[in-house]
Amino acid sequence: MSDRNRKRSPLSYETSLRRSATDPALTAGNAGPTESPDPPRASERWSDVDEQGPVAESSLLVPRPEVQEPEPRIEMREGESYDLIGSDAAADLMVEVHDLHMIFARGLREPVHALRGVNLSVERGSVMGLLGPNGCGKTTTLSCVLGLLNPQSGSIEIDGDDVGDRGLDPLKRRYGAVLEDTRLPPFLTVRESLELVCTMCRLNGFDWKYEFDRVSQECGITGLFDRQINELSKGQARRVGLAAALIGDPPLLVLDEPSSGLDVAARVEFDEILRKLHNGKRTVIIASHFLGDVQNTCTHVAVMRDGRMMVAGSTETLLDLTEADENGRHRSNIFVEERFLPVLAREGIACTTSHYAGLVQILTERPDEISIPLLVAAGVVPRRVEPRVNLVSVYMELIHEEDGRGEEVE
Amino acid sequence: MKAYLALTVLFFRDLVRRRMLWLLVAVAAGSIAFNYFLAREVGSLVEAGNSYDVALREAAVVFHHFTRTLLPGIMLVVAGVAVLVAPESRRNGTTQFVLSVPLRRRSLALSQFSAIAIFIVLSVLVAHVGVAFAGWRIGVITPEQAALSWIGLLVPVLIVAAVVFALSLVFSVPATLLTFVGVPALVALATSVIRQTRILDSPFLVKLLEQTAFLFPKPENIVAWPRMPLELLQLGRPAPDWSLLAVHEVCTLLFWFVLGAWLYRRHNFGSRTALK
Repeated sequence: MSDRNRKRSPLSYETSLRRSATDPALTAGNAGPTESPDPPRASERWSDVDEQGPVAESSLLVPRPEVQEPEPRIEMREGESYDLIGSDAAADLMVEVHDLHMIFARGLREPVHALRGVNLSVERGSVMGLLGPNGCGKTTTLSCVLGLLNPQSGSIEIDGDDVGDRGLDPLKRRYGAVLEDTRLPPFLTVRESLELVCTMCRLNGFDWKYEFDRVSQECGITGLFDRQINELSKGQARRVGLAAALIGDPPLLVLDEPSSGLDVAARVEFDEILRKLHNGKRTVIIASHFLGDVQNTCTHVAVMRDGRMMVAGSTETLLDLTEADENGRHRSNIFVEERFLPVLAREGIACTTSHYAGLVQILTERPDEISIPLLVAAGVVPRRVEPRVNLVSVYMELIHEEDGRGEEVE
Repeated sequence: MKAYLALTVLFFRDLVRRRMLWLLVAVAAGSIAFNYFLAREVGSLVEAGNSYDVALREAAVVFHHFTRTLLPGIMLVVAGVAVLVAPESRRNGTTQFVLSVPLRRRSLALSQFSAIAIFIVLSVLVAHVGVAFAGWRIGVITPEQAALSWIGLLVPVLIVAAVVFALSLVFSVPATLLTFVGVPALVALATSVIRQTRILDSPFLVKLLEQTAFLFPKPENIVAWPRMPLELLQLGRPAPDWSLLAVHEVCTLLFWFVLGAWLYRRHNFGSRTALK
């Protein structure tokens, strides 16, 4: 198996990220188009690559200016976790999770290692989207941050204060939370629920009206005060839950799958509320499965898998960086059917497996290269063309990395 | 304090929503039925040609037999109520919601127990009034004795509820009931079987079972209910070996309470059990 065909490990993925992050020629924002000559035709390029191998590829095909490589912003850590990328290392952090381990007992069965050294840094004022498949440890991580679970090892800091085993309570005023299982007491009215939260937040009666006005405007629940919780629709109940979490104006808001179970309109409405809530001041952590919503709402994204943090960074940086593979080639987001593989091989067009069944993904030298005319000229009809790299493709690439997908196809 | 009261009211309303009021209704119905039964018993004895005094004495025997049987039953019901709330509460949305606002865990547990205690006090009060009224009608108990024994019943009952609740904060319902009901019953059964049948008649085994039984509280042994005479109170103890029994019961109750509270401090509020 050639180097290019080997299964990519998280390390290799991280390496490509590091290259992309630090190499101006690979980073979309620093591509330096004036310094790169026009690339040769695809057929010439890929035949050269095949003959000379991946080592010669970058120097031969895409001449890059000699630049001093800056300090890498990604550091590989034990346990395949990643630091925040695309952000300032000395940033003001609201939440810092370091090397978190959590093991659940299951009676006589084998324990579940839910978190395996999770590292996560959330900058103050950012909106962090926590992504990952079911069972990857998102809710467990958030539960640890909120103090509902005590991790076996690791440290959590909220606003610079270490959250120890029993040191959490004084910190609780600093966050509001809407958890997946959280339901407001169904026998209370919205007003009673919010009054209860005000009481527990030690707000006096004079502050209640101000808080009610503020959260009702922020969450759009003005007309719901006298209705019982169990009479509300799911979307309304979720907005009331969010309003309850915002009582006391906490600087940190933790939301665990806030959009689950909501219809599209309610989701859009909820996302709009979240965007308004953020305003660059409040720090928000959202665990969600709706990648589109996360991409639209979050300034930062972290992807978890199997209890590990696969990658974390600003949304834009992630979208820009994850195009390049270890050989400096970019996924073009043009997908063709596998039956065209002989034609692609004949034309010397490189491609890779994709997360779409029966489709392979075309690899290009530059992220902005348009390959469709080349493909059409070669008699290959693209089956699927995505407008640009989006969070879905990045996420799928990360999640399926160890499943044998993403291997280059000859 | 305001937060504690608000939470107690919240959990009380939650208990009402969970049909716990039916417990009060059942106790009230039982009290009325017991009164009716005793009155009918006296009436039928008088109709059978007995004098009224004889009928009252017969009724008093029935009364004492019933109350002796009822007292362990009250303790069982109290344990059953106290064990039901915490496991359900810590998993339901209301508790999760409460945990997401500024609140200490012990405040949460205290307010939950307060809500349970309100129900238990009301239920025991209804049962006590019903039994005491029946005893007063047949002349075996005076209002003063009833008032005194009410305190003597309520305090141990609340202590038992607190102990069971403390353990149920971390253990499931079956595990807690097994601890407080199942194991003592099994130990007593095994001891009596060994003594009666002479199977495995080993002094060591019998001693082991007896010592094991000492680990579990039997508060009914130290409760003088429904009649606590003032004279016994003036003596300082209602029975000759009461002090020793009381010390033993306090120690066992304290042991389980401390164990539950200690485990609760280490407890995770997840749906799964974390390894330590």
